[in-house]
Amino acid sequence: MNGTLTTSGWVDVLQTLPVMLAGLKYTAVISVTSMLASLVIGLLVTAMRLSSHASLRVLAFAYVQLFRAFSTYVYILFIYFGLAAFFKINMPPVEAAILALSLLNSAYVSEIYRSAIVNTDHGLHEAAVCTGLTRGQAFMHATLPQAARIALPSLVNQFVVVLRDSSIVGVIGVADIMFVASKAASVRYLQFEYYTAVACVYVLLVFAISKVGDYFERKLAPP
Amino acid sequence: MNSSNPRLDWATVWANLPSFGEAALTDLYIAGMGFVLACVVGLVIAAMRSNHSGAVRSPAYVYTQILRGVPLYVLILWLYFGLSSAAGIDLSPVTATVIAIGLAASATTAEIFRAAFAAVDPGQIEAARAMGLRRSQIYTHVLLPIASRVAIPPLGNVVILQVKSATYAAVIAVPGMVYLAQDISMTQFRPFEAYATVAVLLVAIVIALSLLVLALERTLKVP
Repeated sequence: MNGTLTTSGWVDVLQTLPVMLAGLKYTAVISVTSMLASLVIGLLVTAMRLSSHASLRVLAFAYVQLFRAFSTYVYILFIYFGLAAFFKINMPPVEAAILALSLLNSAYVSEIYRSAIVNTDHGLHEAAVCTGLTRGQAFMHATLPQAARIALPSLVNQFVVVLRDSSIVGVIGVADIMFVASKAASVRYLQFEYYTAVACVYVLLVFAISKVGDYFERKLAPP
Repeated sequence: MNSSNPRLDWATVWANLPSFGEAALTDLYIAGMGFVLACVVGLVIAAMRSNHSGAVRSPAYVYTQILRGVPLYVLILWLYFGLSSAAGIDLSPVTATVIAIGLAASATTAEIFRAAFAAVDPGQIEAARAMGLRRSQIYTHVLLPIASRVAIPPLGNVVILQVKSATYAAVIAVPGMVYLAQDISMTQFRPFEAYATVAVLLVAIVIALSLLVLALERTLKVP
């Protein structure tokens, strides 16, 4: 079989495709949950980062620097094998993957929030305060709408990163599309066909998400 | 060895410290080569995208979209197992990882180069031309010095990205830090200590590289 590409190989991939695509439900659950969690944790970290207490600022800075040094692969292994063994907790792989991706990406999300807030026109905030709004109201009505517009493209991009990074969860036994494909591929010695199919699925997914992101970016653009 | 012993025992890691050093060097070698490859491919893509002909621009666009969608894990397995099964191309695990992380980062470097060259004031080039400099001289004496100043901070981030990406080499058994940690956690039942060591080493490498980039930025800064 070595060195040959046969039609039967691709037929085989097509026959397994439904099972592979079923694995996408893990990809969806893990990447969407992790993204939502990092949006919330990121908000917390950003609030600390922009706080008036120096100790909170330092803590948030350290958090961001720490998590930006790990790859998803290393962090998932650390949580699933390292922490689980140390605390003797039996964490299911899906939960471990969500925990790892959420913490890791919250560091990047908080940087996106921070740079969006820093890049807003502070004059609008001051003007809002001058017209009698409280600082909280000024943030909600003057700073946040601008910041959201700036942050959205980067957040969509970050979701793409989470989606791609989630493909590694097979190493801790989550039966996602890549896991299913790898198994089928090694049994039949059709690695090229199966991995090409997985790559195509990811390219299509990412392309679709980028297009949706572009659409919202246009909708939110100032007139 | 008792796998259920919750107490920390760093003796295993301590005994393996020289191996960790060697493994870290393997990772750094992969990251370095991957960075060089990303720069070379990135320059080509950036040049193609600024070409007048659509026939040159569109392959670069398609390439970027594909590379943006394929997860690094999938790319590594595709190159290592896929090319071998379909075309009989047997890459060594290190080569496969270098190519994978190089290609994966090339879309980013292409964008960095494009932005850097766009940041050069056209007046500077006109002035150089008026003074009678040849095209190659304009390149080496005007364009590159100015553009490199713009490109160095984001390229520093790519170096750090490559260090993190290089950890994925363990999925095809390259004896880097992660592979060593997997070995220690399986043979010595010390997963927490082993993965924590990888994490600490990664943070140390990333901090050292960040400081290096910062120093370089300061040296190149226009007085």
